[in-house]
Amino acid sequence: MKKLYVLCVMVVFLACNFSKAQEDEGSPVVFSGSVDTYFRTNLNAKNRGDAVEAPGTSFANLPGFGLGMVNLVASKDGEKVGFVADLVFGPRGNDAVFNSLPSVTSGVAVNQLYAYWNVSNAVTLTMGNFNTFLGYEVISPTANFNYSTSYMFSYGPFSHTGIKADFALSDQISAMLSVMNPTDFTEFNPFGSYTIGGQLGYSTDNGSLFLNVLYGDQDGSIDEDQVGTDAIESAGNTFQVDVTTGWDLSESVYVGVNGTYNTTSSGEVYNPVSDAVEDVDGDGAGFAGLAGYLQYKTSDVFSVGTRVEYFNVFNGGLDIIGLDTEGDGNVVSFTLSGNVHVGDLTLIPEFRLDSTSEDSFSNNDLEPSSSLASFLLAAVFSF
Amino acid sequence: MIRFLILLFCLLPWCTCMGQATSFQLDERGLITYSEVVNVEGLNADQLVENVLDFFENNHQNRKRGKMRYRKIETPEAGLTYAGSFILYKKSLGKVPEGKVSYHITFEAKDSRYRYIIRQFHFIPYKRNRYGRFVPVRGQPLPLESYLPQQENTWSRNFTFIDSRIEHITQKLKEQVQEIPIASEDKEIVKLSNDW
Repeated sequence: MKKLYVLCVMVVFLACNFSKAQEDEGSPVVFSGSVDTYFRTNLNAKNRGDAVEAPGTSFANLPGFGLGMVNLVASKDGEKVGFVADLVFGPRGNDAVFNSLPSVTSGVAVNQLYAYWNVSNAVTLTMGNFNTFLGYEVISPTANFNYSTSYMFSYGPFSHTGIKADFALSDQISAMLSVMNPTDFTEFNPFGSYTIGGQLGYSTDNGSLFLNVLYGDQDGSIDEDQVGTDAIESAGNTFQVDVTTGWDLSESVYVGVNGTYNTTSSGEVYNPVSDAVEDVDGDGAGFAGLAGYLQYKTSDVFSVGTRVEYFNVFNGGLDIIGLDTEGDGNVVSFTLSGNVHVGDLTLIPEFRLDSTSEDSFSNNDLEPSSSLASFLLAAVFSF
Repeated sequence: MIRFLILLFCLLPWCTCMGQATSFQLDERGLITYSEVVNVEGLNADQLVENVLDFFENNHQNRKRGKMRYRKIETPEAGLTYAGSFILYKKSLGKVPEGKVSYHITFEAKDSRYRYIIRQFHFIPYKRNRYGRFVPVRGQPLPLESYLPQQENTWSRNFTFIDSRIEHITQKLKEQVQEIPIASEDKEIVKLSNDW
């Protein structure tokens, strides 16, 4: 009986607090988040053992029933100042913050952690760790239509830590400038080099267009005072330009496009023979891609959408697909997804086909193959 | 046992209140409308307008929190019309914004009476953006009237809250408008002279 009494007191307390919160006009601290889980299987390749295959993209790439992440977000959106504290737990979260080693090893990963100040109606300063401004897709599965991710998302930046200034130049035009740690080194800067970023945006009620750029040395330069007897290489500056746009063509049809180009220059090497740091000759290496997104909303309950992506690796810029002798290769990926909304739960059945220019996968007979077909079903709950 | 029953008794009105449906008044165009003519003895039209401007320009609920987000509607036919808004929250364990309700208040004054009209309600849903902040979803806000068919089910709680919110706002407006300005008294001037 005593327990029942305590339970009732708690219920009343929560109820009173909740109704009081509704009356409160000040901006509250908001707690929200999501939970996601999935089932994935290859249709033309092994699903177990060392030969288990998956597209070379982030998240949703484990066989069988797999876990995404728990995402807990606390935020306060004040008139002048605010903050976002965004924690992730689980495989998707760990993959998203792969360079934040202290957090990942502790099991609690900080996905975003920043505070902002609306200096005026036109200027907002933000400092801390925030998800990237580049690209179309995002880490949170609640904001993506497709559950699996694109190559451009997977190999572009995930997050940055630094300071940025957002400018509302008009109701429709915005700009952003930022100074940040090397990409995805979100807890501290281990290299002493910084990256600059910029964005120009155009937004209307029907859609938006963003031009994003990123430039900086992602692994610092070689410190001659700390070299040993081995050769040390350091990549040069990384430059990425990205265009992201999405438009409602009608109440039920939406189209989006993302294009990106990323290159890293050759950099420098420490030569122990000459005991000197020397510049490396050669062309830059990297990747470029283009993706189109088309979505059709049949009702408030069901939508269907597709993503078609072309992704090209040049000069051995990434080792994720088969490359030719010159280090070039490409992949075309087709993804067809449904979104079934049941209250706050979204079910995403998804079929995906990845086809590469060189053999990149192995088939059911463990022979090299240039294509991989897979199916997944995801459940994403947001609260 | 008695304490438990008392608790249950306290809980009952709250539960009942949550289930109440709200009946809105609609104008001739089918728009949800709150309107009232209020008599105020001892204040002329100019004083009433001055008082309501004070209401719009300052936070009517708590001055310490700064200014309310009332914005003057600058159209020739609008008269003294301001746009206001408030946030609707989802029924959830956490406090998650569901969207923003915006509305227009028109104020008309004559000597010893005034009229307010609140209408043009719109709702724009919120969603979390890539930076974890809740922002309005893309697209035009929908008139609140388009949610009336859901009044008995999914939007029941929201309409109850909107009604109570507007009642709160009109109550504060009335309190502010009927404030009689305190006449500034002639204060005695301190005169300093060398002959002290």
